[in-house]
This record gives sequence, structure tokens and C-alpha cells, in this order.
Amino acid sequence: MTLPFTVAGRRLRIHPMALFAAALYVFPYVVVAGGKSTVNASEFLIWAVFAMGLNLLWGHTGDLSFGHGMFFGWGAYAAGRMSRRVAFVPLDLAVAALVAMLVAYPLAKIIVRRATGIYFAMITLAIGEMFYFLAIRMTKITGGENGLVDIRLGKLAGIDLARPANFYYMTAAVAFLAVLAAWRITRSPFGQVCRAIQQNRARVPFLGFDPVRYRERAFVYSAAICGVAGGLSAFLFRQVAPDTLRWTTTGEAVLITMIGGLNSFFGPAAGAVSVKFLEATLIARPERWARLYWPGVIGAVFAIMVLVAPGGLAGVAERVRALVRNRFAAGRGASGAPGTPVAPVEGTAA
Amino acid sequence: MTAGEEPTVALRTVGLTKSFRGLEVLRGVDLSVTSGTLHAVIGPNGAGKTTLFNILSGAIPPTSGRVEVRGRDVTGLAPHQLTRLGLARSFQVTSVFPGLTVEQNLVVAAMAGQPHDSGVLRRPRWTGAVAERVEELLDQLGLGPLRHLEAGVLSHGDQRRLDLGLTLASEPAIILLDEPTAGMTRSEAQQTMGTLERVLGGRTIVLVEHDMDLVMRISARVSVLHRGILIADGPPEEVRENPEVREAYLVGVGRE
Amino acid sequence: MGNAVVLGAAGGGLHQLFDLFLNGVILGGIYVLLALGLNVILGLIGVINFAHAAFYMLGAYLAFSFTPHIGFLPAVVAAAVVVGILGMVMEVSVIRPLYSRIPEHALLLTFGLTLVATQVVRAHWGDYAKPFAAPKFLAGAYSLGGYEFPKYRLFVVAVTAVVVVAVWLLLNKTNLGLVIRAGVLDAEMVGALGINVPLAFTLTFGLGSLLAGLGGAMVGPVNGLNPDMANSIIILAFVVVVIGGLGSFWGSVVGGLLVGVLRSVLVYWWSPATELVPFFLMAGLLLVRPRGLFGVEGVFE
Repeated sequence: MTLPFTVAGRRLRIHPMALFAAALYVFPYVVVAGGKSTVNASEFLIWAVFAMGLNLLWGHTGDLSFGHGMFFGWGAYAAGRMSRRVAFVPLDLAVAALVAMLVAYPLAKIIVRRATGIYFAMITLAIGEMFYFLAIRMTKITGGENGLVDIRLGKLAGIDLARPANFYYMTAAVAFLAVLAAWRITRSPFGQVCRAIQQNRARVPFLGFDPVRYRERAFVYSAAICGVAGGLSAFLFRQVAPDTLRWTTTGEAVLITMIGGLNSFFGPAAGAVSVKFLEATLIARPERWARLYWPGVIGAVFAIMVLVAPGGLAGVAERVRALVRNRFAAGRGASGAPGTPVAPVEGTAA
Repeated sequence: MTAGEEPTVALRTVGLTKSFRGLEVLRGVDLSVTSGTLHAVIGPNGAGKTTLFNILSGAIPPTSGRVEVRGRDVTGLAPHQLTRLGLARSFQVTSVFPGLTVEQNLVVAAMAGQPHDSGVLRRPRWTGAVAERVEELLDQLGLGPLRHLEAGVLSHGDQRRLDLGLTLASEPAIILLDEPTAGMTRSEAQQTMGTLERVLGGRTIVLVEHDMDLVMRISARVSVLHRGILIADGPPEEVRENPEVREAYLVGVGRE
Repeated sequence: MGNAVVLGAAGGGLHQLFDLFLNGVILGGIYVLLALGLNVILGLIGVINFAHAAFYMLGAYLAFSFTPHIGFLPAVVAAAVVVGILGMVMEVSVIRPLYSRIPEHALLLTFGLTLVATQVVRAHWGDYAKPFAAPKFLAGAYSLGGYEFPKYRLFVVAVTAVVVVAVWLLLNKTNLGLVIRAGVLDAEMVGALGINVPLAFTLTFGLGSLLAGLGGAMVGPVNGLNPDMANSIIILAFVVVVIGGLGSFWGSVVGGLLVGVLRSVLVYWWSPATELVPFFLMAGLLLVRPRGLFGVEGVFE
């Protein structure tokens, strides 16, 4: 699937991943122009990856996991500890993804078959919290309440990653790979079956697919990506706090994903950038209500959005696009949606 | 079937019984469906037809008894396993994937007809075969012009045709049709039956229907369920004359 | 809940165990109230009210603020009632439009509202934990056979028991209760029967929220108040509901007491028990009986 663009009267087709790569390149400049730092840009990007990881499950099979922060946390701890042995970021991140998947697999096998919908959300919430309490206790491994602190960044092919700009481009490269993997997964037959599950779970077995197996796999893939995001955060902040495992972390990711737009591929990334930018802006403001009570502002924005625009930013963008399209379409009857969409809705094209 | 070949039994139930919390819905049902024939199951409302279909398609397990497909015991298998073995069903209430386009609906269904390829990171080898099948289905069902519309915006009749397409996409050898003409106008029903006859030639079909004329016209064999028991089983003319059957329909909840 | 385990003479150990047990019963009682509130809403309306925890917190803080003006007992009642009304207002204004949507939307919206509520509490009452002394007439303890029965704790247990009985009567002897119980089994049918569903939903929300507010109002003197109350209790409330069974009355009662007592008593042998026991219990149940102790099969969606 590619997006068509009209340039000088001729249609060019550009692959969305190419656009994404371009956006990644330009992003830090935009962030700095907006008054934030390059470090912020890395942070925003990490949350974007986290949200897209969550969306790989939620936006495809429809399972809302309120505990996926645990994989972010596990990834962070894994990368952090691995870095003490071998301070080589690509390896450490690979370990982070692997650890997240290893934890996710048994959980998926136990939970997915037995729970769906709200029940699934409640149980994943509780499991995530359980890991938090375990992490606080396992001081030897996790550093207890203080978390991991001596995380070594190391060098990457001679490049000093401690410099914010270098760190950002490393993060961008990792983000690109992670998103590319997610892209291939969603576009594959596997992804198509997942979306069918979300639309009409009851019908899927009669087509010949076992929804449980697909949901389990989506759970594990999504955990891997969240784990990578967690690993990146360990390197960005040079520490891992047990708080990352708490449901409040997932809560923020859930909020971000929905604000960005659930059923769109890049929506959650847009949500991450918007929300995190808003947060950073509020914290810096002089007014008390912004500086001290910004979670309330975010919460209010989120609640309103759930009420009036559950499709998130992507949903709004789609509505605008449809409006524009209808304006230019030549006399359509009441019955028709336009014939061939100009650009297939992201995330649902075959 | 070539001349001289023994007709095989595609689908069989032996002593099929189902009770829900003490209420016996099916009692010792012995059904035998010959390959390549159209076998109708009729009976007044509440006779247990839907339960029978649910058991045959794997949605619920029987309390006792067996289900055999081509001689193989498939009792208790899950729906997706039965579909992979070549047994598909349609539903009374239209059930499609509303947010996907017609084409995407059929693609997902057709993928199940291919040997399972998880293909997460590769384009599947059989993409060509799936695309071909989808084109075939769009053609046979007359859904070609609608292929890019979301299934949710289609008219009811179009959705039912799509639903049928979903059932047939994996090229099942045995098809369970649950009231395929329910809620249709005369002309729509005739159109649907025409489509079915075209598309389903040679397959084994088990049909639940309320339209008596239709049933008598096209079935090779008719089974009559009444209060969970099979009270008649034979060619249509025989069943039509059967006094027990007539009584069941007159005394029971009544015909559509 | 102290981490120190005193290995003293058998008498001392037994006393401590009993103390832990009584503590567990009280906390269990609060969990029962919370779980009951969640379950009546979940059972009839099919919505998980994330803001339930916020109502619990508001109940505590309101009781704290009201007490100097109208006395402790009236403050508790007033706090519960105000929270109940707040719940009904919330239902009518923002939950109702979500009934036609998937239940996750209500969960998410109430999650957002909880964020707002927590900040409002911080802004109005301050960031720091507040102690809340039990009223004089409930301070002190009764001595019986060498054991101490703190009066306030007995009060909490007594009120909880009365409320549980009242809720049972409501569920089993009134029309609203009938509607709620029917709704647990088949929410759609309830509407089809021509009952004034919107009113029933609103009242149910009010009842559920009132129970949360009452629990919060009473827990103040036990543990003190802090703005993090909502976040920490929501998990336990969910775990109790999962253990007891979605939408189940007896599940709330047994689940709440079980979790409360086990959390407290097992500390005697294993100090991390407080935090981890509820989860292990939940995980164990999930493996062998996913619907919970008293849950109805197939309700989880």
C-alpha cells in the first residue's frame, strides 16, 4: 500500500515507511523549534514506539491490555542489566525484546483463552501491578525501590551515544526497525485475520481460524515492541524505576494510543508526540493549574475525546479527509460511499 | 461420482443427544447425509434444528453421541478445525466483517482454504491462489461492483450474499446452510437459490429451511425433527405424505 | 502493616495473629463494600467504573472535611450520599452516551475522570497524607479475655455487616434488586421487558458509588488519607471482583473478606504477603476457575 501524491500533475507513489523515515529525520528539528530539547525528542519517540506496540494488540484484535507497561518495564530492566555485561545497545535492545516475549508467552497462554474484553483489561491490569510488587522485592535483580542506576551506554561504531543528537538518531533507527516489523505484521495474512477478529470474533472460527491463537501471538509481538521501547528508555534516562511496571504507565500509553487513533497505523505515534508535547508544555508553564496538576488536564482532554472523538486524531483526520473528498466528488447519490478510495484507510488495506 | 461407485456418507450422526440443564433438546438423532446430495432438515420451531447445526459445526459439544465426517470421528472438535476438514456453515443472522471491504472479507475467508501459512514477515506463497479464488467468488456472487465498499454499508441482501461467500470461500466439501432465504423477498429468495445451485453443484449440503416448496423441490432427502427426535427421514415425496409429519406441523408452533 | 514479625512466646504470637485477623476483617469489609459497588454496576450495566476508586477517595476526603462541622457519624453518611449523587450525575451526563459503544469506552472515560479527580483532591486538600483521628466515642478498645477489640474497628465491621445485609435485602426483596439481578444474567432482556432501564441504571450507579464513598469515609481513621488512595485501591477492588466473580453478590462478600484476611494474617509468616497474596490468589483462580469463586459462566465480556 502506498500513498499517491500528485506532483506537477503526475501521480507519485510513496511508501508510508519512507515518509516515516523522513519524518524521523526531521522530527528533532521540529521539537527544538517548538521549544523543547533533543532529549525530549528521543523521549517522545520512545513513547511513540510504546504506543504503537500497544496498538499492535489493541488496534488489531481489539484486546485492551491495561498491563502492557509490564513489558515496557521488563524490557527496561533487561536492557539495563544486560548493559552492565555488554554495553552494546543493539544487543541489549535485542535482549530486551526477547525477555519481553519470554514473559509474554506464558501470560498469553494463560490469560487470552480465559478472558476477553473488560475482564481481560482487569486481569492484565492486575498482573502488571503484581510484577511491580515483585520488582520492589527482588532488590538483587532490580535494585528494589530505587531501581537500576548504573546503566552503561557504551559506544556504537565509535559514535558517542551520550550526545543527545547521536542518541536520538540511534533511537530513530531502532524505532524505524520496530515500526517496520509492526508494519509487516499488520499487512500480513496474520494481521488481516487479527482485524477480522476485532470486527466479528464469533464468525472467525467458522472461517477456519482459531482466534485464541491469533490473539496470543498478537499479544507476544506487541509485548516485544513495548519491550524495545522500554529498553530505549533505560538508555535514555540511564536508570530504570520500578514505576514503569505499574498500571499508571500503561494507563498513559493507553491514553496516548487512543488519543492518536486506535484503528490507524501511525495514529498512536501522533498521539504520543501530541500528548507528551502537551505534558512538557504544561509542566513548564507558570500557572499552578498547569504546572502542578497537569495530569488532570490530560485526563480531562482524554475523557472528552473518548466521549466525542473516539477515533482519536486519526479519526478526526479521516473525517476531514472524507469531507474534502466529498466536496470534490462529482454528484454522488445518497447510497454510495465513494467508489475507489483515493488512499485506502491506513491499517486496513489488504 | 462415477457410475458404479458406492455413494459415500459425507456426514453422519450417531445417537446424538443434547441436554441443557436437564432440558433435552436433541434425543438420539441418527442422521446420514450422502455425499454430493442436498439433504434438508425441517421441523417446527423449537424442534432442535439450530442446536443440531451448532453441534455439527462444532460450536457446542453434544451431551452424548458421535459426529462423523467421511467416516472420521470429529465429535467435540472446535469450529475452526471442522472448517479445515472441509465443513462450513452459514448463519441465520447475517454475520460479516462490517469494517472490512467486501474484497477484504473474502480474502480473509479464502485464506483459510489454503494450507495454513502464518506468513507474518513474508508475503505468502499462495497469494495468487487466494486472489484467484476471491475473483471467482466476486463473479459468482455478483459482488464485483461492490468490492471496495465496506461490508457494513451494504444492503441486507448484498450482505447475505457476502455471508454466503464467506462460507464458501474455503471450498468446503460439506456445507451447512442455516435458513439461507430467511427474511428475503420471493425474488431475492429465488435469486439466492439460483446462485446456490450454480455455485454448489457437487457438494454435500445440509439445509435448514422453512420454505416447504423450496425444500420439496430441491432436496434429495428430507429429515424431520420434532421436539428433538427424528420422526421422518427419506425422499421428499415420502416425507410429505407421512402422517406424523403432518401432525407435527399442524399441532406444533406452525409453519412460516 | 508492619514488616517485622515478632517471634515471641506463643501467647504473644496468638495475640498478634488475632490482631492481624481483626485488621484483615476490617480491610476485608472495606473491600466488600468496594467490590459490591463495582459489581452491581458491572452486573446490570456491564460497565467497569474506573472512577469507583475516585469515589472511594472522595468519600474519605469529604468525611474528613465534614466532620468538624457536623460530627463524625453524620459526616460519614453525608459523604456517602454526596458521592452517591455524584455517581448519578456522572452516569446521566457522560456514561449514558457510551452505552451504545463497546464497554471499554466507559472504562477509558472513567479512567480519565479518575486522573482529574486525583488532581482535584491534590489541589483542594493538599499533597500530603492527612491523619484522620477517630471520634472520641469510638476511640479506645474493649478488653475481653486478654484480647483488645479496638472500638473503631468494631464500628467498621458492624457498619459493613449492616450495609451488606441491607444490600442483600435490596437485591432480593425490591424491584430494583430484581432488575439488577436479572441484568447480571441478561442485560438486553431487561430492556426488552419494558422496565424503565435508564432510571434503573442511574439508581444502580448511585448505589454503587454510595458504597464506594461509604467505604472511603470509614477507612479514613484506619489508614489516614492521601491523594494516592484511588490508584492503590483500584487494583485491589479489581482483584477482589475477579476472585469473587464478575457481578456476584456473594463473590464480593467472600472475595473481599478472603483477600482482606489473607493479606493481613499471612504477614505473620511472610512479610511480602500483603502485596502479593491477592495477585497469587487471582492467578491461581484464573488457572482453575476463570469465572471466579461465584461467577456466572460467560459473563466476562
